Amino acid sequence: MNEYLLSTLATPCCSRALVKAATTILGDSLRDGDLLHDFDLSLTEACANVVRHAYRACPVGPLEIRLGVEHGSHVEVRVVDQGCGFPRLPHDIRNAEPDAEGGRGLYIIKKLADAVRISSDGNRHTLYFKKNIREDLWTTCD
Amino acid sequence: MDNLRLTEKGNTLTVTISGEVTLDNTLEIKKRFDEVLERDRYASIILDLSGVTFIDSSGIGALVVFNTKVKTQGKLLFLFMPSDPVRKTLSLVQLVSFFDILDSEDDLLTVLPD
Repeated sequence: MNEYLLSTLATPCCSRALVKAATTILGDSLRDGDLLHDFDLSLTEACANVVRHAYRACPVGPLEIRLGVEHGSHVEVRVVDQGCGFPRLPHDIRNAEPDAEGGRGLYIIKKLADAVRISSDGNRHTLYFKKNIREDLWTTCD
Repeated sequence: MDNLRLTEKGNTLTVTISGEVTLDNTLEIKKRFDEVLERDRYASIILDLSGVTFIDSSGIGALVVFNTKVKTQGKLLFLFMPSDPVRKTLSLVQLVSFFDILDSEDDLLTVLPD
């Protein structure tokens, strides 16, 4: 598995730049534009959660994206922060009501992934998701 | 911000958004939406999303709130030719039917003939 680590400060501007960099890395391995858009969206949602919630009660800190690329098989993503932790781990990730302003980020990630996990280890909080990818959607060189 | 443009024609206001709509600029877009809501002279608002290259859930949330506020004022709001990325995100969160969507210039002429 090829592994990549990208890190920045958890601000809206830096977060989007970090996601674009991660998507560019994935673009070396994945040939399908729709699939790359899905990763772009999932990563953006995961990082936006960190930017909006992780450091709400403490000074802004780091935001990490860790990519694991198993060529021909799957991609694993870990979005890590060192903030206050998740207030409550949702048992069931549901879509928001149609007229609600927020509450759709995790649902989008869940819809686009084959597995989603949220965990904490000390002050490191991780949102993990994995997506299995068909063989024909990978680039041929590795 | 330079990715939101307003165009007036009769009692219709067209709001054209281009580029990315993410947490990075959603606050500014919501502010511009609120300014639009303070103008009373429009009966219809066309939200042209044909040039939006990427939208996340915070952008969708801004559209949802704007739609509700416009409708509450008794006005019409249409999403005009949402780009593929906008359609994809709307579809993921099952909001395609929440909005009145116009897919072509012909559709626009049907609802707003003048």
